[in-house]
Amino acid sequence: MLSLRGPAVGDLKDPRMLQKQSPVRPSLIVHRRVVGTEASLDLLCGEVCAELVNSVEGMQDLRTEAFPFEDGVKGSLVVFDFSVKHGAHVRQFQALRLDGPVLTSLTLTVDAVTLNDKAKENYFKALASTRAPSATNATIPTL
Amino acid sequence: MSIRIGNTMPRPILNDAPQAREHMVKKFGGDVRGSTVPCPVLSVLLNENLLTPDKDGNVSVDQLKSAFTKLGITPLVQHGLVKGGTSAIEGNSKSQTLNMFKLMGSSLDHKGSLGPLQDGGFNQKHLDQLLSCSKDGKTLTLEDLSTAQQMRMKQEGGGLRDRLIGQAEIAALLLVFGKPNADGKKAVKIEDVVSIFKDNKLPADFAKQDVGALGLVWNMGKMAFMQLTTAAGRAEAGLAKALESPQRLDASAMKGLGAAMCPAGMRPKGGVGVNAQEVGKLHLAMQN
Repeated sequence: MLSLRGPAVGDLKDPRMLQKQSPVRPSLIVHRRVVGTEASLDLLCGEVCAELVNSVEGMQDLRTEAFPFEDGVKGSLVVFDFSVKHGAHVRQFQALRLDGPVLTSLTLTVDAVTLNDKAKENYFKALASTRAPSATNATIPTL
Repeated sequence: MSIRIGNTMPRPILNDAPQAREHMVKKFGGDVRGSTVPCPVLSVLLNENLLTPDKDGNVSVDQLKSAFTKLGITPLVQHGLVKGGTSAIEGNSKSQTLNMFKLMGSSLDHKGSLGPLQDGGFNQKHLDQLLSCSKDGKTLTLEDLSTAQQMRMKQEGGGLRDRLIGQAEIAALLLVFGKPNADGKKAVKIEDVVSIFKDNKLPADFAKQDVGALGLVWNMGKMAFMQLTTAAGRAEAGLAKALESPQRLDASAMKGLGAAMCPAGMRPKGGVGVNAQEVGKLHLAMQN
């Protein structure tokens, strides 16, 4: 498992707002584990969703969508928002890809308020650059 | 039949009213408070007559230490348990007695425990939920117990302190009662779990094993890491990192703590006062 964080962000999103605003620092957690070959990616994705529903308090807008990786592998993306607490609106993306028996999970956590189409495109491009673990030139995606 | 791959969670089972434990009430001379002892290990010790409380529910610290010795709990861990227990329950770490009736509702009675003995009696649904976490259907490994704790933490909304107390309890349970399963992993057999939680009896083939502080901390660390690597654990870790809030004690931190507690003084090859063979023996607990 590898954990990365984006640069620290300023304290205020909008200095004109008087209520508490918590800065959200983007983070990425990359995790790989051997899950065997009995389950399809769809089943694994369903299990991830079930686990998140059972475990994440106040989760909102859980949805899944197909996520194509750059090397042609078809992946899945789980998206949800955490409940708004302490003035922070946090969105999480969990991108999954299955290479043989190895499941790679990329957990990207970002500020839902400041996330725009351009930033989202950049994030997805970085996530999609993930390679199969057996590749000789395997790389870790960067933001 | 449900298919579960890796350490994902089964569907949680909702709370149900607990049943009074008649055999425990009898042990306390008909006092219904006997049913409320929430700790499975203490319940076993009481039911097996290794602890003999007075009519007010007090057991002596000496008797408690003696009973722990019979379970294989080493003196250092015994000392920590007794001091922590007397301090939390009697308000004085030098107290020479510990009251079994005060365990429920004390500061040691935490959220997110495995559940079968909480709420003043035995709860079959919590036991069923715990057993449903077994991947092989025969034993509960550290990973299974870790999943069970995560489900209970979610159900009861426990915090970091609750999680740590729970992890220590689970690690101790596994070290005292666990044996290698078919995959070679240390695990508690399903029938032994039922025996401990429902009947409050020692497993039929119980054999004492050394339960030291190092093994305890190491297993807590492994469990913390397992919880961190589930989808829910990563979700929680991602949120904590994004908000720069305090993060859960993870495997690296626990490994550091384990190294700090190393009985060989962090000398893996031995050195003054300890040879390599002795170091190997001291570190054996970390392999289980």
